Amino acid sequence: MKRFLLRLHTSRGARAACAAVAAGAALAGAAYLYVHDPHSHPLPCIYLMLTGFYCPGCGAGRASYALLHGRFAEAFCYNPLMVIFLPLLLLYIGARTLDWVITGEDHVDYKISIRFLVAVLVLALIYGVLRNIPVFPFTLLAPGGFAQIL
Amino acid sequence: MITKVRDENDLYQLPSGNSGWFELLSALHCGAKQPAPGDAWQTGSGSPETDSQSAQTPPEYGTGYQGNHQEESQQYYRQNYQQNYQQSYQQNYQGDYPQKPVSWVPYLVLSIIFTVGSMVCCCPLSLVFGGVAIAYSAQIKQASETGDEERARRMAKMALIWLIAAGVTLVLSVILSAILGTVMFEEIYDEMYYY
Repeated sequence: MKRFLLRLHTSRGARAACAAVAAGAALAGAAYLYVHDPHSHPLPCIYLMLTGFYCPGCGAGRASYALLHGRFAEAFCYNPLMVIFLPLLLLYIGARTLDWVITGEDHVDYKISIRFLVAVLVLALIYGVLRNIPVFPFTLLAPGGFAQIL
Repeated sequence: MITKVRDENDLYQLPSGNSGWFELLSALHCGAKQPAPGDAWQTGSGSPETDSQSAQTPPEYGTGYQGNHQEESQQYYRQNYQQNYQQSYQQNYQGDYPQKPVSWVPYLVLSIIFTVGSMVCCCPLSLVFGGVAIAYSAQIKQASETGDEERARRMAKMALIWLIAAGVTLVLSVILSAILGTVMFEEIYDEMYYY
């Protein structure tokens, strides 16, 4: 393990190979989501099964399926928070990986505002609460809720 | 034995801090810069060869002493080497070597991202682990601000452990969810909530 870590530190090629493996795994996941229709074969949510309440991620599987098929409005209806923050997350992962592969160090984390991240965390928690309130306009935040008005 | 010592020194050269996940892992070495391999050798006690050269000359034996002279001489060198090596180790690894302060920023950033990711991936266990990692990351900052570097390193180590736990449970839950969604429980799909 230590030798592997040392190898990652010293060799840019090893870092690139490691990043390529991770990207391959991500692509495999995306391919799975592309062919796996969650409308006919739903992906279970443990939190929803246990409590009966929507979690902040409920609708993310269907939203991802819609996104991968180019249906952005439908994706937004299923989980608006995920659709808004997914590009930022992908940007972070891409920049962090590229920085690590090229320099072997981390310059990205220091450029991110902690306040912004805390705000995202609090927003996700509030979003998880609000989407369970069965009163309009909060019902819009439930999975598929925005389909009422879009 | 010599090779092992060399390897240990080489591996301690892994830079600490928080750049990349492997360096996060290297924070398990207290997150501080470790001595370069040359340091231990330059003290004259990192290897048996140098130790034997710098050690005191073994006592000269009188005439007629030829019994187990070679064996006693080897034992003398061995004891001397062990003593010098321990002193050198204490000086290099536990002594006054300047240690790099732990940065709390990457720990907190990764903790929050893992926690939000746990929410989006419907993984309550990972959510809890991410929350614990956030708490430890906040304590790194607190300890660093008060100048307690030792505590900051301990908190960094704990934050790293909880981050790994959150990441592993997150990945496992996603895989489990995919398996459940593909091959199992087809009979209860109609009744099952899903995301």
